[in-house]
Amino acid sequence: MLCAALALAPACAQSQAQRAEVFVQLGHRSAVTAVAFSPDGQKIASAGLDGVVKLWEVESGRVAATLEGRAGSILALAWSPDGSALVGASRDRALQHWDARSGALLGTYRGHDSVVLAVAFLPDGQQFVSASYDRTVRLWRLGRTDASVEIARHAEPVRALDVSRDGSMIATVGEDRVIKLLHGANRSSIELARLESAALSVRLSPAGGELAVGAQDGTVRLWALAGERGNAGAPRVLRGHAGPVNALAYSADGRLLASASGDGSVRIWDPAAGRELVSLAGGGAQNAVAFSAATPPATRSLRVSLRTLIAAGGLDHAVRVWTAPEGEAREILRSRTTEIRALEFAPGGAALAAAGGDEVRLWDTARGQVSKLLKGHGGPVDAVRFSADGATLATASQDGTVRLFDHPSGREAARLDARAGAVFSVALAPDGAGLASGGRDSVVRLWDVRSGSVARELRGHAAAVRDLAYSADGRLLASASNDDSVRLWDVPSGRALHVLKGHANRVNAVRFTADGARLVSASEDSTLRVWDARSGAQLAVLHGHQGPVKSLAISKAGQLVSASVDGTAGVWSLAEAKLLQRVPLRAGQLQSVALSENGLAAAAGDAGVTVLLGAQDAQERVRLFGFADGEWVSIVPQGQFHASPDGARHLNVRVGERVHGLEQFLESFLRPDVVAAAFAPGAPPAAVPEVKPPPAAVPEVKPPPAAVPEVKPPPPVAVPGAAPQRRELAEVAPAPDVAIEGMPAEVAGGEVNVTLRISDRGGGIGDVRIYLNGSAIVNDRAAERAPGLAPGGSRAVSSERNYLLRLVEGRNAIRAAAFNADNTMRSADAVHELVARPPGERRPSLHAVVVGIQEFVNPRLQLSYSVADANLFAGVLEARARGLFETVNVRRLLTPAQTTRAAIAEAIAGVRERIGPDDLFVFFVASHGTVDEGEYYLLTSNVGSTSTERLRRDALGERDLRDLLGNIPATKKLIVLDTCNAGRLGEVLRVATRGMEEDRAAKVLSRAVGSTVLAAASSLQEAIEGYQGHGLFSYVVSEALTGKADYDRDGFVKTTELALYVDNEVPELAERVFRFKQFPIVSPTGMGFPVTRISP
Amino acid sequence: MKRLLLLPLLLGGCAGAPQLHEVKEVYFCAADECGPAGRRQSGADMLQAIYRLLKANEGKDFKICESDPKTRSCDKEGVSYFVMGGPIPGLGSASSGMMSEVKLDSMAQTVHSRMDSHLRFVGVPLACAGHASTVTVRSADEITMMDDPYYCNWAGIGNMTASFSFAVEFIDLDKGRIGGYWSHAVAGNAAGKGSGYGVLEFPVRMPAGENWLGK
Repeated sequence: MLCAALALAPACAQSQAQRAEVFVQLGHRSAVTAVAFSPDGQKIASAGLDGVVKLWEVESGRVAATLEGRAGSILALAWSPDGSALVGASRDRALQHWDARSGALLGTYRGHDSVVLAVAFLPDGQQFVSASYDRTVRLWRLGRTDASVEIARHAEPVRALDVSRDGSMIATVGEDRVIKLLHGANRSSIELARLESAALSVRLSPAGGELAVGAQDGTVRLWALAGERGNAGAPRVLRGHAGPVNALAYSADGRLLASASGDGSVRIWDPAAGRELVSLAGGGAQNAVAFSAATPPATRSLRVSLRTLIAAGGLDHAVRVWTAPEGEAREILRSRTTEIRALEFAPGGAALAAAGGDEVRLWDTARGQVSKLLKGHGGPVDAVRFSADGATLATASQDGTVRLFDHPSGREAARLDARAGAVFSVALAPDGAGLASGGRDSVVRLWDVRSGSVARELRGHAAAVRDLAYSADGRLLASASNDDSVRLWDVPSGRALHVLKGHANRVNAVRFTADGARLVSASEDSTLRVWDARSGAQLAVLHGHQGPVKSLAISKAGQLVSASVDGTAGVWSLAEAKLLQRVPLRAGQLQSVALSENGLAAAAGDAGVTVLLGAQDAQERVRLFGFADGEWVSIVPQGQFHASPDGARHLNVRVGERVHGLEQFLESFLRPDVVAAAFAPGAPPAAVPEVKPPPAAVPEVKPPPAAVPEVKPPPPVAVPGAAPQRRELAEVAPAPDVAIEGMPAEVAGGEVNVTLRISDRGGGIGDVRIYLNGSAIVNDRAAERAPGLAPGGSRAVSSERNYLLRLVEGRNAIRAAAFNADNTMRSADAVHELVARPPGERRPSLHAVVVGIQEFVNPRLQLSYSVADANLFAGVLEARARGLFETVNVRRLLTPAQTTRAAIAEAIAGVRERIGPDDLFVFFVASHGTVDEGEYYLLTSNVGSTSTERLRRDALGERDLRDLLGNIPATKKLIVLDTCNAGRLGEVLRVATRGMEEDRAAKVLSRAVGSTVLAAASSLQEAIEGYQGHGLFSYVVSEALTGKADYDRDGFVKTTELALYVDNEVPELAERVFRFKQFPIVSPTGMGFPVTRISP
Repeated sequence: MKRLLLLPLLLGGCAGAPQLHEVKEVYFCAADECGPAGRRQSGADMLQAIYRLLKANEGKDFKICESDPKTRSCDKEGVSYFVMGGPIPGLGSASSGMMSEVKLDSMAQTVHSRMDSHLRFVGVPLACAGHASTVTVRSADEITMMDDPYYCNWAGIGNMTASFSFAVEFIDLDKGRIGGYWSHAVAGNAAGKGSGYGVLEFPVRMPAGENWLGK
């Protein structure tokens, strides 16, 4: 609002420009035609037949920007020498000029009469030349979009050109097989040579003494150039390619030449020796190749070596990056999702099936997460359908089979194979006994599901059957075919009732209305048609889409939606036969659409993202991303998300000009509860639960501590009367940059002073965290420092901080990260590795703080077994860990006085003074836990009221735990939280999302502290009844540590084994003893290590 | 999509370069799957696809239809444009053709054939010479068809040279269709020029089972 009012204020303009934007890495959706490294080597620009330019960060492999073109396919690209501009040669006779920093399209240059095939800048950066199918070569000046000069002409289309480094020479080649050299200011032209086949690519060596031409016949020819006439003798010929040489590139020093060919290979040559150095396999025909600049990119990490890189792109839509000349594969830059071809909601809307590639993902819409990944098909899955009772999911695949999966277990129950080729469509009869399938062989098959046999074959279509639908009473079956017709069948008799003709092209989809009176079909001819199911008469033609309509869905209430390759979902009035709304979904070309019974619509397509909308308001609720490696993310428009363990890494967030991984926002925006709420029936589109207000005013900066900062019990954040705020990811200010400075590669002692250079990028500087070998050992909380680096970031500040770290013997991997001032975004990690050789040897010790809280200020919170649980756990540690550690120091906190918030914090802080980096730290607590406004709280004995405000003040919040545990300077930590959910007392909690929020808290804690976290949010009933005189979870953990989890029988129980045992045993016992579904939260992070020893 | 030119006296006899720029992307259907050609097919794939389709239809008449990039179907047989036949104004039309001697040149990425075009002026057939026609595939979405200029005679009195170019916008092997933006022109005793979106519909389709592009 303020910025809107002050739109001209520079600070606001900057703030607007820096609004964070979430996007998935889509890559090109068609063949790549051009690649080019930016002059500074930091980015690769690629262009494709899909008409866009993508800018990729070389270091991270992330898409930094997608530059949208307006002139069709882009066939060539050029960076200006200073890297500020990109020009693309386009199909629509135009050249397009983008600002390489902002991505803005600055101009469209017209003058060619046909497709533009090549472009190159002159060294002044103000002029560029282009070559076209119209047989001309034209010279342009940046900024003058309609003024160009023809400087050369070939007899046939000009395929390629190149400009010498000093700009004095331009080489052009064409389909007329002629190679021309243009010299001097007047561009006088000479014909250098005439080939025997069309020339497709040309490059001048950086020093200007050599010309390389790639030809249709698979050869690369090298001419030595001298003087203005070229003085070219016979060329040397490099042979090896078995297809046309589509692109060439010299390395910056001219010592390497790369060629990209239609034969699918990229070859690196030593042009001086005329020798092939290496052949690299691309993904299909290769169209483009480029070398990185001579100057290696300045990187914050060691991820990108200082070697020259080579990038190539081609048919498989990917850009491949290798080192040169070794040819070591570095990165494949492409989409991280796979096309979704079919969607279907389960009855009631509790699940959504999405077919992508050979797999089907089942989304649990109550929790907003993937519940199952159904595998088994050996070809693309084209159709998914639930049975009327939701207990079965049928899938049809091009592998020739229909499979039936039990839902929700995901078990494959049956496989139907008529051995008749690809199956494109399937429908389950309402009674569940029948199933219809259709495919490439044009036959509709009716199956007896119980026997798995074909009951009847319905013949009549002249081409493949693309879709099937039963009427609600199961008596009619409609089939949509590539023969442009829909057929209506009488199921009991198998008789064809009607052939519905009218579409001008393939019919892709068909559905009955709920009353069975009408049916609607969707076609490649860009229309939908409405038919009378009784007479077969066409009732209406629905125009509105601008491309083939691939899918449709009709709700029981008669709502009709459609999905088109034009990228929009159509919302139609069936009664009025008119288009109500075309909703652009930014999800690529749409292939499928589905409606749920609880008011949601889902649409998806080639972008691999499923967009969930309110069926009535067409407002976006959630986007679902399933990635090729099985990871997933669901995210609401405001940025709160739910994700699989590594899913967030696959989503990108642009803040200003930089692109980050979504995982950098995880601690603030991982909100499964918010995502789940967005799925809920009737949820408003912008359903974002209240978020805590930001911390109170940040105190001024003190000089940074020279050693590990002191950790005090965190001060409560009291915000009486403050109105809850809604935080959106788009409004997050950027995290600072962090660099580790001046570190040695090896130290003789056991300590090292780490200097961090933290540069504010406008978002201020918040918490600073340092990890040693994956475990957090410093959590320098902003509120404990006095920052002066104010949030809002009106001034950029660079700050230096020093931390004294104790090291382990051998390899020490130090990672440092800093947050923005309000701790909503974490920086990319700065990384340094060093070897330490501390004097002397010392066996590690175990330090444990074991807490059992049974009595609370509020007597209603009384628990029965917490103290017994703590004693049991402590006893097991003392008995079983002795043989493993030098000393075992277990501190039990069991009385009300020992278990207040302050006392626990003090006990943990006390450990920090005694523990070493090689030691193991264990934190166990049995008590109440609760989640309020998205934040987890561990209830300490001093808690009376569980109101939000009092919880913040009296309990240990998750951020407090992060601070306390993250400052324990040990590289091995184990955290066990057995917390009975106080929500069942009815005082504060939203029970609907219980468990989900604890899960989030455990994940965040595990990631923040770098420790294995085992947690359980047990029910009150369990807590009251107990198991063997203990809480069930604590009992299982203790049993595991006494030896039951020693799966590999090596005499030790390791954290990985402990996690596995708990994960297996707790649900089984809970089900057996309490008849409850109880799933522990197991979040293994950091190092795996032994905790107890079983054999002496 | 027909575009009539109102100034026939100014018209030349050249169809001009194919309107490649009108093609946003080549849409490709094969083995019952449709989508942008650049997504899965290389130029070499497309060359093979066209060659096989034309070879399968060697010596057989194909239909020329008016169409629309939204439907990509044969909306109306024949394409037509305004021609000034000496003093007689009227519509020139092309409704069918036949290819023979279909040959593939993989190295040049071309398919050559001999074309017999069936043209009419004011409903009366023209007698046209057979001529060379070349399909050139530079990439999956850069496909053109160009006929060499050829001689035609109308009713024994009108002599003219005709030319034809075609920028391919879609190929449907299942339905035996090639669609795109055409340009046609005649010059001589008659002069006229037209362009539009049309479909060449071949009688022999490429059944999915025999279609190697199903992959």
